[in-house]
Amino acid sequence: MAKKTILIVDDSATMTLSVKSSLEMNGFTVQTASDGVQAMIKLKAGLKPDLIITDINMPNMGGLELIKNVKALPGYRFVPILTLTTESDSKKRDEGKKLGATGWLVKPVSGVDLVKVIKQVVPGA
Amino acid sequence: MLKSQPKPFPSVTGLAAIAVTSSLMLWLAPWAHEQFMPSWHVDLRVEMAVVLCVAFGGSSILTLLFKWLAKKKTFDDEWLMLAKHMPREQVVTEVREVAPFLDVMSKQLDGAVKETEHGVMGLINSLNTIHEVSQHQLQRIKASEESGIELATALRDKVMVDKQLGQILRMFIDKQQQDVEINLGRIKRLQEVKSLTTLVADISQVAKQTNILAVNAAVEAARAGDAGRGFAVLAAEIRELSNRTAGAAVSISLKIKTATEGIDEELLNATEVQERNSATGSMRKVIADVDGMQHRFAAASQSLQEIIEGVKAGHQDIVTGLSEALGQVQFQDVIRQRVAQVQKAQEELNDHLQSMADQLIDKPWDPQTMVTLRQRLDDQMASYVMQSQRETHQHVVGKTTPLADARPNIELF
Repeated sequence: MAKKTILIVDDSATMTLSVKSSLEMNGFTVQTASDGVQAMIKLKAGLKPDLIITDINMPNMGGLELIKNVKALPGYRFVPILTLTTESDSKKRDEGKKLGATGWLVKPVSGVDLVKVIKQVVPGA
Repeated sequence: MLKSQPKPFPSVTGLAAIAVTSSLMLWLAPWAHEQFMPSWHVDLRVEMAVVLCVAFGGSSILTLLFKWLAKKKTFDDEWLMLAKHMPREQVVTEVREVAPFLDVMSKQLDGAVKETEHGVMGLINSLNTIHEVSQHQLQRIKASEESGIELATALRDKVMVDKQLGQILRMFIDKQQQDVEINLGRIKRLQEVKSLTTLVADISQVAKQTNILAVNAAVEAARAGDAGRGFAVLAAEIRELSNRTAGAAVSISLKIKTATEGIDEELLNATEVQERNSATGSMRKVIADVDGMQHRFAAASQSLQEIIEGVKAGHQDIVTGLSEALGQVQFQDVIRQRVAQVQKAQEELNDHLQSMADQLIDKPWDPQTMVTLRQRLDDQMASYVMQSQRETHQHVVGKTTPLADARPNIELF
């Protein structure tokens, strides 16, 4: 079975590397972006991930705006999007849900739990 | 250390004393004039000058008295102490120094965050190295497993063939043994021809005796003359017959001897073959040993397979442990964000102090529009993103307002 591809969007280098390493150890192919703008560039260039994991509070384009833009992109409407953030405000969480996020994860999240969630939201993972 | 500033002259205290004393003198002077110097007519200007001089002298005495009392701490009057407080300009100067001070502290925090980032990156790289080593071990084991499987498959096929060959060989060996025993039996039975030797000896004896009888018959026939002529012929025939019988017996004896010698030789050969056939026991043992070796190899393959499965499970345990560790290092990002929020609050504090300094010097102070530090502190709650930040704030300021119910850290919509 082909490996599933995950796009990680976070402005923290340590977060990006730690999540990337954890997911690759568990058999996933991982791409990264440092903010929403970088992520949109990659998507528009043809990257079709099976899942997007994004932070919320980022420079240039935050996670909520990224969710909105991805859902509006032709062909990407049904790509599941998980947030991985320190943001615990209920209003932002509800807004994310309204915009189409698949789930809300608050840091820190263990690698084992993250993989469990991914297997729940990505068919065939 | 600040230089001491010259005291303002006259001081506020002195001016207040002058005002009080002047008012008192102006009020008392007409009464005193009327009571004590009714007949003394003095010019009003002179009178006022005298009143003011007295007021000035009196106020000076009063001022010195108050200062003496303040030194002794018997009279607490903040107006008397005002000359010892920091001047406004000095306060402003100090406040202006807050910005560079906070800037240094902010850079210290940046440095601390950078160090944690550097440490975490190193840790992540070390964890990745551990995973790579485990991965290589797993690949080596998998390569061994594939070789083992190939060997096991080949061995299994060979075992099948060997078993069939072994069965055929056993059948052949058994048949061989049977044939040998049968032949041996036959040869042993042929040895009975030896018993013919005595028979031949009997025949020779009979022939010899018959010959003797024939000779005697011939002698008697000769004695009988012409009447015995026929008997003489008969005796001659019998003698011929006995001679031929003796010759045949000799011939038979020779042939029996030859046959016996041949049979003995065959018996010897057959016996030797039978003895050699005891080596089939060794062959059977070899076949059994090969079977045993195949079984042991199959058992060893099974053990190897179990070891490989154990290594695979161990590798998965390593991956699980490493994933947990990589999740733990996310604390660094949490720290980074909390430090950033504190730095932002420091900037806001600096802005507030600079604004206060401006209002001390040249900008008008409007208490209605000014945002107090207390309000700024309360507004920090809106800028927090983490539940822990809100809880810390509430705990420090002593508020008991319940926070919104915490939602789960992992929520799928």
